[in-house]
Amino acid sequence: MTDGPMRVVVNDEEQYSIWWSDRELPPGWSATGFEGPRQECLDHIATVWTDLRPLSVRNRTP
Amino acid sequence: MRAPLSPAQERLWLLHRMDPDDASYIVYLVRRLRGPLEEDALRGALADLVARHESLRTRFVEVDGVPWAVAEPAEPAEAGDSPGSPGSPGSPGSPGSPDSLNSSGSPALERLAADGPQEAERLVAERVNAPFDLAAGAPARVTLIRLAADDHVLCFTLHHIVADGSSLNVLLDDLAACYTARVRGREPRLRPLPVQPSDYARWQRRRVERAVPYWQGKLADPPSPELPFDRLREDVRPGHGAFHHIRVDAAVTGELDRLARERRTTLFAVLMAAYQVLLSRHTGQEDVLVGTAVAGRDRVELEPLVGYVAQTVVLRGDLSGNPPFTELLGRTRAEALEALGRPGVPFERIGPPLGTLMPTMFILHNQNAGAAPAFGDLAVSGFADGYRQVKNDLLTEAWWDGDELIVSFCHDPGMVAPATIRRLAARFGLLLESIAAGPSTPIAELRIWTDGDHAVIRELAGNGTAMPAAPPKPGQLTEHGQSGQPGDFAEPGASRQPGGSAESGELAESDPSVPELIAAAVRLHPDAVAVVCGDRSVTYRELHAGAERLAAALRLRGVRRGDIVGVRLPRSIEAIVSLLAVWLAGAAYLPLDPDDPDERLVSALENLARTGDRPPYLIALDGPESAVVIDPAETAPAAETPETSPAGHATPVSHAEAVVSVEPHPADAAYVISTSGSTGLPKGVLVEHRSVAARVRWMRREYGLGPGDRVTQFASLSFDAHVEEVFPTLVAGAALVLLPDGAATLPDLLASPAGAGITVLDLPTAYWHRMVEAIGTISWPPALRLVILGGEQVSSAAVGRWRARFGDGVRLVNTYGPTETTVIATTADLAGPAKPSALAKSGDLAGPAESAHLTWPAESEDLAGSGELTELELRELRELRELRGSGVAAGRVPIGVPVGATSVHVLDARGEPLPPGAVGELVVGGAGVARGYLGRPALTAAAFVPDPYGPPGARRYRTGDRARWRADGRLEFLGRFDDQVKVRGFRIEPGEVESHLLAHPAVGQAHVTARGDDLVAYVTGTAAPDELRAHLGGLLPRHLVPTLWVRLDELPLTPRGKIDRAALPDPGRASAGRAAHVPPRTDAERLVAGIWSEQLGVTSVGAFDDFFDLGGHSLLATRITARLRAETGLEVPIRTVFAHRTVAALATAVEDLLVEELSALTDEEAVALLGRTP
Repeated sequence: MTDGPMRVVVNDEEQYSIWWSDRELPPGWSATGFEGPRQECLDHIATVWTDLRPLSVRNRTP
Repeated sequence: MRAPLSPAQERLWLLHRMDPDDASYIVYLVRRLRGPLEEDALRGALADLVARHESLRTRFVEVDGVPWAVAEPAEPAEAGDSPGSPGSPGSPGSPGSPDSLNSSGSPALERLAADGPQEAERLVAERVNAPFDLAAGAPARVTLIRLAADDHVLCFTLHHIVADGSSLNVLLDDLAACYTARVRGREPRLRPLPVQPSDYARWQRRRVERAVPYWQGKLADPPSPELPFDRLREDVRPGHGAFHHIRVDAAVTGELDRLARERRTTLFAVLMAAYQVLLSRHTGQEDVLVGTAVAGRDRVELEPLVGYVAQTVVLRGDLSGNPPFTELLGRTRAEALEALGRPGVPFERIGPPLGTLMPTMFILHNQNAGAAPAFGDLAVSGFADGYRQVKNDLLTEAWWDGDELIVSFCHDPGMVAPATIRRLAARFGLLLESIAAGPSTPIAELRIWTDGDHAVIRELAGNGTAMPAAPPKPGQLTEHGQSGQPGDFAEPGASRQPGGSAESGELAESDPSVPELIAAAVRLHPDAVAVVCGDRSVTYRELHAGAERLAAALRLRGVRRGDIVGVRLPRSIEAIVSLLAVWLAGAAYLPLDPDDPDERLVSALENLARTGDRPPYLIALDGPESAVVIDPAETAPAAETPETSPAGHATPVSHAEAVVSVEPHPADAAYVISTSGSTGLPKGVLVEHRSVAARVRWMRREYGLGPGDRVTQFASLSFDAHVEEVFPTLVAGAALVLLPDGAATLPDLLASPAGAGITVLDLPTAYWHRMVEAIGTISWPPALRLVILGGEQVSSAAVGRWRARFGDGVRLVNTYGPTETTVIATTADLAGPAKPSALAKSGDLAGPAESAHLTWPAESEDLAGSGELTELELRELRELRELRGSGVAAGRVPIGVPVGATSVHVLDARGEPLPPGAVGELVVGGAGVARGYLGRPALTAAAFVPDPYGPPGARRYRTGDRARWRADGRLEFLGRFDDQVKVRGFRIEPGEVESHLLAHPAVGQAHVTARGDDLVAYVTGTAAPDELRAHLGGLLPRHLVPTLWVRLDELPLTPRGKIDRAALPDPGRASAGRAAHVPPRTDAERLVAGIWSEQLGVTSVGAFDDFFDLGGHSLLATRITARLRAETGLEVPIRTVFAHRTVAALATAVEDLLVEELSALTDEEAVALLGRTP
């Protein structure tokens, strides 16, 4: 997972990760729109993913 | 006449000198001759050949360690003469002749008769596989086997030192011409032969000398040698070979040939580039070394020569940057033009060992396209040669067959599973097809994995969704519980449904959490002993009551669902109670080691346990002021006591609320394990309840835990191995036995009456290694039935010792898994009773097919997509299943197959899954995948990535570990991707060196690390450093062979049972590795040092100087042995010089040889001999 541009992806539990820009997204994941070199994607995630709890856990325990 | 050898001849001579019985360097010509054979004419023709070709009259003698070629003068043969017949006069002074050689040292005609082709084949095979004595006479044999009056087989066998492949064509042509001439009664007309081998050898010596710097530069810093498969054994050299052939059809061959012409290069370059892609796609390496042979007859005067003219050269492919194949072809073309035009250099002159420079070879044979010359009136055809010698781990050859190509893969079936080679060959075939179909495809995207490979990948991956993956058959139930009663299952399903089986399938749906499972065990076995600690013990009822009391206290103190509570307690019942109490309070625990320094504790609490602005909670006997410290003995105050809220805390719950245990949701956090991060900040891995539940249920079933079991609690609680010890035990109604005085007291516990009943040990691998080294002194409990290992690469020698002691009486399981995938991800059974269900543990195997028609478990079909498997896929899977049952081979110990509810893939750099044989990154999906790293979003997003094979939205964990599926369907661990150290500029994976050391039969433990400019090896066991150095020297490049060696009785371990790097002794003081200059100390050392100094041209040689470090190489080694022989009269084997690389070591070896020899002598002989030693 080193080559090529990546994009920031997120699943239904609002967990973030990265995926190759030129590849089909795995089921259950959607692109956030942010795209770039791997490290830039990770830096972006660091700013937007502030609560690492899955959405379902967040909803049950405010 | 005495002449020097060509460098390539010198090399073969040396190989022969080291192993005279090796028959692998033989070339041969086997032809069937049908028709009226005139034997006298054949003898005459043979004599003509001997007269014409110096090679057929040349033997090789050694003078002072230097080989010389000695050619007998040519004796012109007369027509009708039969020079080879017995009784013909020989030259004076020639050595005694073995069979098939006449007294002039040139080949005679051996005549045999065979009853049929089969017997003839056997006779041919015997001759083709028999070694030569190079000193005795010309290394050539000619045999004529009579099948019938008009049907013969002619077998011409020569040592490679006097002939190469092209020579065979020359010989056949010349023999045919001479025979035909004699039959027809005329003079043979042969091409002029201006150059003889001795002329060529002198010329070649000069050329090679000039080429040495080129090759040294070209092949500097070679990658570590990797083959595209796993070896069955590591400790043997290739022996007898087997061949596997594939046919490349005319359409593909035509396309490849067209591609070559279009790119102004040759089919060889296309095939070589493709072969490099094949290797690279398996090893992940972008720097690929492949040997090849070139005829070397680019001068017209060399064409009619019989001699060793062919060159072995190494092509170095640069496959970096995922270029289109056509671009790689351009690089290969340039590389081939540059390299093939230069003379090859003996590998010894280049530096790194042969295995490193040329792990494999690829050769394209360009058959003589011209019409075969007339052979009298005989019809000439091929005949089976039966050649079965292997020179290489993998030798791949291709040749034309009409307009198709045949590709042959030669390997040693004792070292590589035949199925492995068959798969490799099929992949090469598919790769050639994909290149033909799209030559501009980037090389990483060319199709290479067959449909069978994809089926195998799916089969091996395991099932990350279901738990358990497949409901076991009712008959297997008794394997899980000790007593075999279904009622022993402490699963809620069992207790809620009396008479129903816990395996009824409800499990997968209901997913009970571990606290619920333990509560069920409490209901089933309230009075059974749950935890033993020294003299104290608690029952299940007491354990649970204690946990509920503390949980209520925690709730009253403000602990909420989702909080993280530190637990820092000594090994005690209270510690176990505390873990459960945190869960019953709805929180997750953060276990901390009481032996860790306070700063680390504070840092872990602040970074991992603090929620918002509330101070972190800590269950401990004492603790920092910054935390809310709760004594484990604390209980909730009585209901009427007014509740006080610590400043800054949220309003505590009411007493009534506090005493009600919280049922965790599957996605709630269960625990956080603190690991050291590279930044110095602690990194907390957060694991959810569903993951713990999946693992604990699987472990309880797979380890067959029941109420009769007593399981030791060895691991520090701060390490996630405790999860494997504590919870499966408590879920099963078994007893957990603590080690209150520390893990190191395990042998004392085992020796005590309380230890005799221990049935299960879960140990860090390094600690187990140490126990096995002292296997005879440990009081192994009579009840012991299961030992679980994990944490480091297991030594195969230790497994051997274990099996020697326990046979299959005690089950031994190796486990692998990062904390991020919840304790374990894969397991391998290394010893133990045959377990039919072991094959089915990943749930996807039904065991051997019971009917003629193979039926597949449901999810195998699901995984296959369409549910339909092709014949090929079926065959691959069938073969995989057969191999899966096979035992542990010598060499690397596997880490096994995925545990339940877990999927494992080995991925290439593009994230595509790899089949057996290929090396990639181990990636784990399924129920065990942790939530992530607390408060570290970027780190979490990088390591926990989308899982395209899991349910929608699933993630999987990239372990950073290198691994490979073996042919038997088990994984092997090959070190870490990021574990590289740099020593003198070389990138080194210590794990790679360690794994080779651990595969050595006399090594117990091994640890390799870098210190300054040295690579240091710490080893235990009986092997001497010299021996290990030689062992590694044969397997790895020089820079991967440790320069400093420290032999220890045992490796120091941390309290957690990992190797304690900080406590490893300083190699400078601990070893005699590379000391400062020490002048030779004994007569023998002075003798050796003197010879080295003279042969190596080094003035001051010290006792600990290394032969190779001083510039020695194997050709020089023969001169050393010759000088030693001259000085002492002792025959010192060349191997001794290689194995004892320092002056001191060689001197000792020489002394030992001397003692050996003296003991066999009479007193007078001994005195006489001693008089010659200095």
